[in-house]
Amino acid sequence: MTVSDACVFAYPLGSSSLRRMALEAKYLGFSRLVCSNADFKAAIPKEFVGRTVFSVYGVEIVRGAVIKAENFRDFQNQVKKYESVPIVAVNAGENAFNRSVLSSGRINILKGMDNAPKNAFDDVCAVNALEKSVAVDIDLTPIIGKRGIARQKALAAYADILKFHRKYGFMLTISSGARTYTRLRGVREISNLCSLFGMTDEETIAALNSVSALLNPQNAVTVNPRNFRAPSESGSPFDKSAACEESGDCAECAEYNEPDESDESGESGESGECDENNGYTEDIS
Amino acid sequence: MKALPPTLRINKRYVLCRIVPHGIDADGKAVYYAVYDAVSSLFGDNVAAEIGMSVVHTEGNWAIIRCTRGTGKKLQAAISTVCSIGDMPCAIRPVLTSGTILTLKEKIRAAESRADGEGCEDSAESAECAETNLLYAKKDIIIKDIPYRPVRVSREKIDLYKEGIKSQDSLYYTIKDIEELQCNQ
Repeated sequence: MTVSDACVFAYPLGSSSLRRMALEAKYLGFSRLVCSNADFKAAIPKEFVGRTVFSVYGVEIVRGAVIKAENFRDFQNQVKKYESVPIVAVNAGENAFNRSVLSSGRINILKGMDNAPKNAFDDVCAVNALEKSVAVDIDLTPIIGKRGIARQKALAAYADILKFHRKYGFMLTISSGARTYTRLRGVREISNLCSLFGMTDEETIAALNSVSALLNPQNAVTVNPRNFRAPSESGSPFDKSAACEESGDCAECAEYNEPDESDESGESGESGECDENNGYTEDIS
Repeated sequence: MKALPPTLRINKRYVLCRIVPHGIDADGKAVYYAVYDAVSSLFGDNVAAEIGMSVVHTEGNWAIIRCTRGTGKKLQAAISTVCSIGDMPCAIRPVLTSGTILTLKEKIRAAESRADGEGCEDSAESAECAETNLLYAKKDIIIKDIPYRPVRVSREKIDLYKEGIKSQDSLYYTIKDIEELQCNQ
């Protein structure tokens, strides 16, 4: 399990250096930080210049970027700059903008839902987020740093997102948006804060883990066409394996058979069937 | 008035909290106002009364806060939203919940004794650590042509402070960062 903070800002944007942030994050139980400084080179230690993923004090630092775009064309222009960045986040806007950004498939996180208009995130956005494996970010900054109506709006927005998450199953990430190490929060603190808008502890842990899924996306299973062969006339491979089980002559199948069963059926011992069954790679013309 | 028998008394829980950054040394009253403000703004007066929080002990960077049993999670959530004590920007981190103050005081003592050692296992290493810390604690550190005064040096961590006519500024670095900066200058 890799507990990650999906967005922090180190010095010069914040007042704590990246090493100091990593030290505190380690104390708080994190094993990964996504550093979203626009000038990433200035934020990281000199020895790691040119790298997007590295480790400081045992905490993995991943390069991130936050895009603030006014419209989709602006977004398209900006996203070209961040093609090599592992985690690209976009600030949410109106509903149409969010839909196009989510369906573009070029981002990893949609963030800033607390500042978005009321109906900015709907069912279509949720389905797009699920299909394109885009996570929706829960930023703790408004819950920690704001008071009154601003915090109420943020809590209401996050409760709405949680409802969609439970219905459609897209990923959530949690970020502190910390600019100094005192704004970082521990896992248990985050769990308590997220319980304010109805998130359970299991959901919080899953959300803290989801940066790993963003970095290593699960692609659909594909069949290598070179090793693929059409089934023969005698039947499907499953029927053959059943025949092998009955005959018991095949060495591979015999492992799974009981020793008594293999002795009983000696007549139908066509070992060729077993060879045919296992030999998908042999007859390629 | 006759005191209630123990079975009828309201059960209490005590939450041990650590105040960061170090060196704030906030008194109990300041911590109480900060936490009470957070509780009442997050949950309202009704739940604040139900929680019944009070600061029972402060010691350096540690504070012990009392609440009614069963409201500990709410209190911890509210404590996590504290961003400043008085005018000082800081955070209060809940560390441990217990039924007695004594247990928490023992934890404070254990943590303090660990902090004195500061991870330097043998005496020679700890002497070296202290020497390095003294080296950095004495002189001002210049970052982007602005001199910063080190206010706390501890093992790897170094807190810098700049007091100007218009504004104050704090920077939180590590010794490695400072060494890197000095190499570049």
